[in-house]
Amino acid sequence: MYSKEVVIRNQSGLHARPASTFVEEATKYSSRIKVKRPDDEEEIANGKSIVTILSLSLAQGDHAVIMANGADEQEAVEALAALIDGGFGEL
Amino acid sequence: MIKAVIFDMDGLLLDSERISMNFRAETHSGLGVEFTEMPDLVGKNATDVKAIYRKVFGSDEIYEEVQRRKKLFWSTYLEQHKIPVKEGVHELVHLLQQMHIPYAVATSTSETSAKAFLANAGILDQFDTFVFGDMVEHSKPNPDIFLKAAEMLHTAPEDCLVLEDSPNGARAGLAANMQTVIVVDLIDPDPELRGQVAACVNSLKELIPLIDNKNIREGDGVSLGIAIGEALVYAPYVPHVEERTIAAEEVETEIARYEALQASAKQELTGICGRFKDDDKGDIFKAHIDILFDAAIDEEIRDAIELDHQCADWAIFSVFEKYVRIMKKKEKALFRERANDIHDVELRLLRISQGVSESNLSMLEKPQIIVAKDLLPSDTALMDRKNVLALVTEEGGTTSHSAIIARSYGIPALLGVKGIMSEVQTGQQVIVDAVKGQIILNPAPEQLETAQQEKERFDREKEDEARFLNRQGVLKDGTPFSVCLNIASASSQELEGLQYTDGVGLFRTEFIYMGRSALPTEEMQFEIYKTVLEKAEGKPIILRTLDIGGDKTLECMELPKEENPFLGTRALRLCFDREDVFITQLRAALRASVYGSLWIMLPMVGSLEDIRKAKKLIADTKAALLAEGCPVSDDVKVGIMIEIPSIAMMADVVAEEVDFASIGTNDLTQYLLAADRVNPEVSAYYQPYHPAVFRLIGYAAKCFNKANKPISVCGELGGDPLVTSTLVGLGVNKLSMGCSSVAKVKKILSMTDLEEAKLLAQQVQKLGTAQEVKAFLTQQADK
Repeated sequence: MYSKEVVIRNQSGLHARPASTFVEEATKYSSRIKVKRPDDEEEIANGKSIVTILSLSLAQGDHAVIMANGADEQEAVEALAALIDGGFGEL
Repeated sequence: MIKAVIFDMDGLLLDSERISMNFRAETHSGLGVEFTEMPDLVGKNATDVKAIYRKVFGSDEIYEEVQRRKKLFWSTYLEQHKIPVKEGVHELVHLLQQMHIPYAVATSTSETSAKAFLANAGILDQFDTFVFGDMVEHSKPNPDIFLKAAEMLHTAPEDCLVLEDSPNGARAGLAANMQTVIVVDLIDPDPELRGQVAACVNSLKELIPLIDNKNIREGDGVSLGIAIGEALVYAPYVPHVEERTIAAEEVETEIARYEALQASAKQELTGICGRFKDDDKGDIFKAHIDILFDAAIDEEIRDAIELDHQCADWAIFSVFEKYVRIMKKKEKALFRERANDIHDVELRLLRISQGVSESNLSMLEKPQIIVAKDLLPSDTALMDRKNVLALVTEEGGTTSHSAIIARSYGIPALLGVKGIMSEVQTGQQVIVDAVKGQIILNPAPEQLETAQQEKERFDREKEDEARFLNRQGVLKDGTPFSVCLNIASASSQELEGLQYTDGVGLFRTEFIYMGRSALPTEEMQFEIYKTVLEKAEGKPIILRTLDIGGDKTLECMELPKEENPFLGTRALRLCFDREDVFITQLRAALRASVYGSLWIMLPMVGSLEDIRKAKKLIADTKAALLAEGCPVSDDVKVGIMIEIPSIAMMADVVAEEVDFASIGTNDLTQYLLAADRVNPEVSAYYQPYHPAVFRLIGYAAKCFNKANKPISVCGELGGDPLVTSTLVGLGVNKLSMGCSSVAKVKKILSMTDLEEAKLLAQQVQKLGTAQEVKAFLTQQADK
């Protein structure tokens, strides 16, 4: 298992287009990918599911943990973290 | 609409006039007076009759004598005879009772005599509301007696039907502004009176089919026109799903069934996306495809079928509903509203599973009349306009979304028809008459024939007006008068109206913000504003900055939750709170200003501070753009919407601060009369024709004329032909409206003489009530 904490930087948060971009990227990897808020063990989103990602309702400034488990876990987490750090081109 | 009926007594309910007449003729000749010399006494009360006798004979002697003999005559008559009841009374009264329509007797006869007469004829017990001659000061043809009756029946005068036999009585009904019908008894009404009353019949019996319109429902005709056709009841699909466990060996087929549903749903959605290829509305449905194959949902549904042995429908229902619940709990509206999309996809799957075909308004097989509870912007956005003959809804009023859309598309619309959804079935033939404000279900052949004739006449008139569409707006003497267009989405179809008008008088930019999940970017807005300005070829474009809040909400922007949103942080106030959003719009507009004549208009301005603050933001934005090397026109005008009464009352001072103003009559009316324009409970208090509205418009126009600055009207009144001349007379110098009103307003303008209009405006301002204004203007229009 590989994980990394990130901060949402883009204005609209992990919503609409950014959320679909995130899911699209996550789907490229074979590892199971999960996203959650650092202090929340209840609501864990499936990184490949737009609906669960949206339901986290991560807004600008919120912290999130990206976790992956599988053959390409490190690659997947780094790529997704980079997307979020880059603000989905909305910065 | 008839909500109450008022009966006259003598000659209408009772065949007593004939007896009276014979008595009078005999008595007068006995007294040596020629009866024919007497002025018309029918329908007058004792005081008035006495006055007439005094005028004719110079003293009260003859009157007293006639009264004495009359009393004697009637007491003897009533003892020996029974006064005949007129034909149709029993049937009509019975029908009114059945229909729960209240009714009253309003007679000039005194209480004692009238009750004795009715009792003698055997119909006293059929009535419980009476107005007698001695209860009001002025008798017929004064309206007092009928107005009193309306009051006792708790019904507005215009909703009352007066039944009268005498010309005096009919005139009283007309003076009371009631629907008046003459049932001819002894006196044949002259042609002029016949022309004024709603109908002239020979027996009450003839009225029964007219009142007994059980197949007619009333509503608010918000977009005029008549349509005859098949109804399409448009109701959101409601799933009925039952929990059912399947056997282990069924799992495989149930999974296959689920996958087949996904495939069919995808096919439907792809089809819809295809139709919106060049439109961002397609994005909504692309997102639905993502939800359809969502990894988490898909996995959970498969688990529910494979592990818990649930049937596919129940698995779909329970998993989707779980996510709908989760999303609905989200704090931010942006996320909360995604619940609708998830729910939409769930409904699509369940609907296909249950073999129900898709019903949305985007693909109608044939021309139909849409009947719905209410229509949402998403429904009308998808609407197949060429096949929509008319719209009928249970909810909504003149300024609702459905109304605005219907008017801009020129589709007849009848809104606020209570309970219509449960009364109409798809395929049933109906007539929608938005002119009269009614829908007729399963019309009878004669109703169809009448409707067909009226439709032809209406369409012909419309065609006649269409000739005015292409002409320049001018007054009677040929002076040009500005007629402008209200636009919202700035679609190419909407902009076609530019060729018939002198520019855009109201560009409702909030529509650019609606129905999208993220705020429109500066670039995107710039492109839209540029297109509009270029298409206008130099004609002025009044761009109203973001006017959101009140009844308009946005998906892409969280609005504060307020008790009274109309009195809260809306429009300019919201833009001050979200300066980032405001500046983005200003930047886009100012950058586009070099492509035409841009007039920026600020909504919801209540004070000079508002104006100054906004002007400073505009100036700063312009300076910033210039500093960046972006060209901005030097001739951008800045003006305000006059909709808050405070700013209207400050018009003299305000006119010095701004380049122009436009009066938004919808909001001005609601703020001036303290009546929420979307709350049906207070719709009676929301009176666009209230004289106060005209007085305030007049004051503001006077101030702006004095400062030599343009002032226009862009609310509903701007496109209302009934008030066109009045607005001209009040000093308004530009009218802005939906494209469908342009021809009609130009036609009225061409008949408007400025001096006469000024006189008309003065008269309107002197009237006391909205009802008087409407009656007065209707009467003027008929001339």
